Amino acid sequence: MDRLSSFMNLMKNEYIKIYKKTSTRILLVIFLAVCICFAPLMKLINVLAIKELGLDYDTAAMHAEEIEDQKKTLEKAADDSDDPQLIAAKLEMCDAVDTESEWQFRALVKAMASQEKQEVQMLTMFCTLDDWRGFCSYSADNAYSEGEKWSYEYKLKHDIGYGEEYEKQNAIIDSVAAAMNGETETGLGGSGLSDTDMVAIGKYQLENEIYDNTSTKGGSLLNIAIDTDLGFWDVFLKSPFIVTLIGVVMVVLAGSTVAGEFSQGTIKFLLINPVTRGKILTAKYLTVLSMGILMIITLMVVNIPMIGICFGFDGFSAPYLAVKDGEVIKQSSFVYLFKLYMLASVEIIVTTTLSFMISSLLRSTALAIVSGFVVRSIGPSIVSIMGMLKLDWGRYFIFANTDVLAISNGESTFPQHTVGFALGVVAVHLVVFLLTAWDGFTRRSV
Amino acid sequence: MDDKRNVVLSIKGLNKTLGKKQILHSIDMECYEGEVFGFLGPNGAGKTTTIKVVVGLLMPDEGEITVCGHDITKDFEGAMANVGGIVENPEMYKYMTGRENLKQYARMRGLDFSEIDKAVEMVKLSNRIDEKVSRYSLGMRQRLGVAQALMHKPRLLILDEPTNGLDPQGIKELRDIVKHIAHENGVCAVVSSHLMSEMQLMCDRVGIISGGSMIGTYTMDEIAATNHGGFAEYVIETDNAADAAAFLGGGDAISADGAMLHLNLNGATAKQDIALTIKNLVNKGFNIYSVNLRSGSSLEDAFIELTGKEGDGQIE
Repeated sequence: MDRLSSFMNLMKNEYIKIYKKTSTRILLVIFLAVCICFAPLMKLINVLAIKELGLDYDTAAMHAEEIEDQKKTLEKAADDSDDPQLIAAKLEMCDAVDTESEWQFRALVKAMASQEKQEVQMLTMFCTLDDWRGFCSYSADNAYSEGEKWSYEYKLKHDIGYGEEYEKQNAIIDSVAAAMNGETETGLGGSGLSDTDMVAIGKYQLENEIYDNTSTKGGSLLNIAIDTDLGFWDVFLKSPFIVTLIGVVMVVLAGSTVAGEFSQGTIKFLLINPVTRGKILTAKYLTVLSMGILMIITLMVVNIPMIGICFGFDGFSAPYLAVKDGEVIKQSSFVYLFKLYMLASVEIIVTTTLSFMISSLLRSTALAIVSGFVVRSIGPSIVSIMGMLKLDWGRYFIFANTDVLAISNGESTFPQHTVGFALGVVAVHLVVFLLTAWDGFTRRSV
Repeated sequence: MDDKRNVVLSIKGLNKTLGKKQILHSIDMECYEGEVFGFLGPNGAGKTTTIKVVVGLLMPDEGEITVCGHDITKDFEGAMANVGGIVENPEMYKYMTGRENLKQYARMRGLDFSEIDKAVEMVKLSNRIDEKVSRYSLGMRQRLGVAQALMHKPRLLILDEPTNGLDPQGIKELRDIVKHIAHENGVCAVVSSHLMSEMQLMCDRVGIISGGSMIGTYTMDEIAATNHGGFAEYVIETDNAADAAAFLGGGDAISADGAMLHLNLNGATAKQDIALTIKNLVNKGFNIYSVNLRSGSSLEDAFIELTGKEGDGQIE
């Protein structure tokens, strides 16, 4: 019999064992349920959170209300003001503003803060004439910051007005302006992009008329709660969080694959076949790893329609824009998502292999699974303590290197930590784990 | 014995130490095709250890083991392709059916699934083969283990305590299967058991191991001849055994027990002697209701004699 097909038969046996065993089958069913429920759950959280936080207001009504409030304040202030003309001008401004228009409300905010009657009258005139160009050129001349100046000049230069048809352009212009001023939110739901990168990407988008871009949509799950306009990729790029669950399933599979044969007593029947122990061990390891790949594929395949149903397919073909050496590069968002999965997989492969090694060495399912989880939960704490104590050799520790995503974003605990170094440390550890597992399984007595 | 038969299993100078204790001392053994070889020894003598080394569950420290000419350390896959067996308990995957378990082994050995039905038919498990193994009795698991061992038609069949958990009917069926495949299909069957009567009925040849050393291998004829130092025991049922014993002259060879008269006769002349004794008793007027040759315990006696373990029940 051909060697490859006999090896595939070994793997087929392992798949059948995983599928037939109640405990592992339940885990797989739970995983599938989480995959299916992910999008509806995100939708539910989004709807509830937006309602709870009161983010679902009607902008025009809100503006109208605010203007009424302003008017009342002004009328009260009019009696004992030393500049009644300014107050009168401001009241006139309040009446001139169209609450439906976004820029007119901005003009109002500017006018209310102003101490000069002339400025208020000028802004009032723009509003009554509905002259957004005038407002923009006036704002550009009187801008407080570099970003603001740039944004108004850009709008004028490219004739980008306000209103729904320019909504996407304006959003990009605003984000570029914010990044120019260094006002990007990095903590809550930040995308991990630097301000200079945000500026470069935003300008590239405007120039090339690519109004959908997924590079700002990764990051924290918190965005799901506070974003009022979630699109396909906003949700899909959060799916690497499920990869953690895949890690749990894989630690259990790896922990029971060898030790389970010993505890069931089936190891003798497994080994008295015309197959070397090395082949059996290899088949078991590759089966566990390929289960991980199958689960990632399932995750993607299930989530595309589910997210589409819950959030719509808008921006499905949006590209992912990244900055490399100052140049903006366009790539498929699917490639980017796959890269995210791969980066998240590094930690999973390390804990899985560790659990597999203990399973093969100590022949105890419980010990293998527990140590897999313990190392996984304690490892990062040890690394952060080492980081606090400024022990630089801590970066040779395996769990300082598993979060490749953070290292590539420059968020590592240790300075001078590179992705190449991390992958090198991970590779060396994996080789040691596998050799130990091999030695424990192939030479010892049964 | 015809020593020109092909050697299936050959063990030469096998030494094995587990921990600090040397379990096996230079074991030499040969088993031939077409025979049922009984592997006997007291508890802890090294039977299971030897079998485990042969099937590759333990690595030998020293010595050469070949199955059909394949060295098990150098060509494990070649050797094991010719081996089928059960070592210790027949533990199978409990969450699978019997058939699914056998499919696992069929895949590992590159067998067609049709072999499964033949093996299952042979061990008479066809009715229950599609049930989960968790619902099997020990006897059914033992049958499934035998089916597993037979399905790829091995030339060396190794059964470690195969009668464990089988009912008398099952034991007889297993004995018939083992004898059949050894004598008809030319398989070499190596069977270990502590049930001497079973071994006596099943085996053509026995090897006796004690304290990790091979005492020797004997054909069943040789066992019968060495039995009691060459004596055969007859039991005669009569009216008054004590009177009959007195008539025959008493002595160590003759004893009475109620209606039973026990005679220990010299193996070489036992047949003539018993015929003459019966004639004499009848002529004297004793009523004889039955005459039996006691052979049921002969292997056991030989075993105890050869291992010298009588009265010393200590496990080594």
